[in-house]
Amino acid sequence: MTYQARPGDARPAKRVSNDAPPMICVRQVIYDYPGHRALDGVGFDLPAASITALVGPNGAGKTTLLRVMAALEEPMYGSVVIDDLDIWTAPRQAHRFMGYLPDHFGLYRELSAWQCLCHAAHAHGMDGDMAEAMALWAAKQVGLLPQLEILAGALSRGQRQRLALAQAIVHRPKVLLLDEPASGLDPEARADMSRLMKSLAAEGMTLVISSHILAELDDYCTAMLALEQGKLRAYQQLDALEERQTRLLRLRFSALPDDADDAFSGWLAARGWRVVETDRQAAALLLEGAADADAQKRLLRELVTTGHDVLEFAEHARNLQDAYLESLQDRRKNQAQCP
Amino acid sequence: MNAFTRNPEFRRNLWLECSPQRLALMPLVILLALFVIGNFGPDNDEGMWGVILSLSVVGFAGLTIVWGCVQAGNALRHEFSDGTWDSQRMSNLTPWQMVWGKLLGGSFYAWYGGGIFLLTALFAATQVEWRFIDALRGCLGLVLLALLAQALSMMKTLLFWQRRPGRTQGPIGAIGSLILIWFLAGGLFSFIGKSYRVKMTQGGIEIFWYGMEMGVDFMLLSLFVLVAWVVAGLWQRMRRELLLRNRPWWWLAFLLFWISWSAGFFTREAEKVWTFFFAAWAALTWMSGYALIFSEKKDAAFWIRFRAAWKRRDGELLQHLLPNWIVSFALALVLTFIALSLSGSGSFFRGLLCLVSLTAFVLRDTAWILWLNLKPGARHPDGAALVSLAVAYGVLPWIDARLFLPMMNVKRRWWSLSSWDFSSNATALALAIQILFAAVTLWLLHNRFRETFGKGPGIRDR
Repeated sequence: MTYQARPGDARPAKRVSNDAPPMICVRQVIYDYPGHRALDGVGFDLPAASITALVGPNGAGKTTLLRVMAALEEPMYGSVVIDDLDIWTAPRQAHRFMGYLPDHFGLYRELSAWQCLCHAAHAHGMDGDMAEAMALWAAKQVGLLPQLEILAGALSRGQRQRLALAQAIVHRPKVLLLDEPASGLDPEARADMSRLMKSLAAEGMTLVISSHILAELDDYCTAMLALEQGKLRAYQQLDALEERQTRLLRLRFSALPDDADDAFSGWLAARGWRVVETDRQAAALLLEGAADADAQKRLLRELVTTGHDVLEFAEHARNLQDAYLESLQDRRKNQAQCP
Repeated sequence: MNAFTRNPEFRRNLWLECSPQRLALMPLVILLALFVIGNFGPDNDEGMWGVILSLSVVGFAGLTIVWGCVQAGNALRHEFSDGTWDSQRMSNLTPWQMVWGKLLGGSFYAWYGGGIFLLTALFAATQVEWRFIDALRGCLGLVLLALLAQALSMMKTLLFWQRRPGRTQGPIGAIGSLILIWFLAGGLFSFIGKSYRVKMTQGGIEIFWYGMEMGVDFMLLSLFVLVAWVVAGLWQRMRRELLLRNRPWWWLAFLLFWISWSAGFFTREAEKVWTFFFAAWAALTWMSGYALIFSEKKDAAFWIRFRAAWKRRDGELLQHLLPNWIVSFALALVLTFIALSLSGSGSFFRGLLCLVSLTAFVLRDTAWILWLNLKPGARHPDGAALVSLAVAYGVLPWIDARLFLPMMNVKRRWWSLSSWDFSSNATALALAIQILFAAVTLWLLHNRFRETFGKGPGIRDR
């Protein structure tokens, strides 16, 4: 069966060039709970077909932000524009091109997986063959075809997670908001989830995925939004991270050189390397510098010939967690400088 | 039937409720029970068909009112507890589809069994000297009563959720349900009881409404209109859940209907008929206002939202958020003023003073209830408000009247407004004290609002 979109239906967005208008614009959003500001002037733009990791500690406001973006909670102030529609002027219209997966799965446990998907399709305004075609498409996307006749309540946790995700995408939303989608999944299911996220983004969907376990998101996210205490602390395109990864080197010694702080840093700087991080406990340094292999070979040779006991010499992959922690450190430094 | 099967919510409920086994089992059990009890059960004046008629009515009530109420409430309660409500809110379903899909879908199996009982009751009634049209009227009454009970049960669940999101009904709510069912079942049995049957065959029930004699058809029409209002109320509440904005006119319209309809049962012909009518309407409106202020959401989150809408001058949102108890109290004040003006026992000035006194009274109570509700971490603010008001209006005056007044050998406190003697200085002083009390509670509330809104940078600053 093939899906043919009806006129006016929610269709997947096309990939857009970088100068295209953003798919999601959040402006100055404030959300208050009694005695507590959950979101404090949060604003950002996200391009279409991107996968953005929404990260932050517990209680940072991630779920509230996702619910505000999903037009489920109305903010006290600010606006959310998705695909040129201010969602709070027409929340019901906005829901037609949005999918949302809450951190609890939200399944009808007494219905079969197939009935769950058909109901979700019907509830999104599809009927007859089209509803069945979309239910089938969604089941195929999440790899749930063999389990369609099983009751939702009898599925394993990972399968229920996938069924809930299939329900959220059954109407092919342009924007998909996922709250902790990979929590509790085994490694194989996480790898499947990673593949699925990439394939949905390849279809043109814009994904925002919240998690406080950054390793889950490292594999497929293209940008990172860091929230802390209801404020946006960092927004970073991870393409830039990938470029930087090749320029990072991790060196571990039997013991750190005595002059690691000053003279050794100067010695490294003279050869085009900058010390980014010093781990005294592990006797390791993280260096940033020339990307080519010749420069690395030269450095290793000189270290050995100058009598340093090098135990480890390897390129270092900067991951999402590094970026997140770095953004927090930068902020704390700024706070310390401007009390 | 197409409209039924095209409603996804109704269809989902059918999937849940109707397996072939269940559909086959229900008529078997009902017919077997009727056959056994009809033939071997207790004797009845009207013979076997009389027994079957009574049993069918009880069976219908048990299935559609008792079990149907539970099922209609569960149609929403399970959405909340299973975490499926967000996906429903984000679906394309209209509020109207949601209301009737859940109301009739959630209790479909109960209606299926109730329908069988209704057919047997209809047939049995024709066998015991009932005219067919009267039997049909009786059945219509039963159906409307069951619909009313189920709609009320669903409304109660929805109101509870909207008042305390994230929590499903606790034991107090369950007790409330039982009281509701008991109340409706009482109405049901008086409606279809033996007296009804006897009077039906003699030409109808005597019901007086605004002094006029009304018949069974009036009762059926009343039930129909009540069902329509409760369903309209559900629709309004569902619109709220689906992020559509409401207007306060719906509540005002319902209130006007409710007081006009129900006051008719308490009024008799009197010399000052219109004064009496307005007094009855005002009393009912006051009661509705107090019932609402305890049942509606009024916590800090609500007022933060209300204040934000006020600052943005968002008139549409303000109308949507406007609490219904404010509408009720405003109407109650107007009706009271008219009733006092029409009473003819005083001047316009007297009516005005009464209005000022009542305004101060309601402001004091409202401010006190809100003050308790806005207290950070308050556990049962409405319970505390109820107890404190009961003490203020019930226990303290009782102690005063029984203990202190006899000791002081006086009949009435000088500050009591009960004499309504507006020519005396004492009454003027009493009025001033009333206003002072209102001012104090309003000041307390103002401070509480400042504490609530004072957290973090203000929205206006942005």
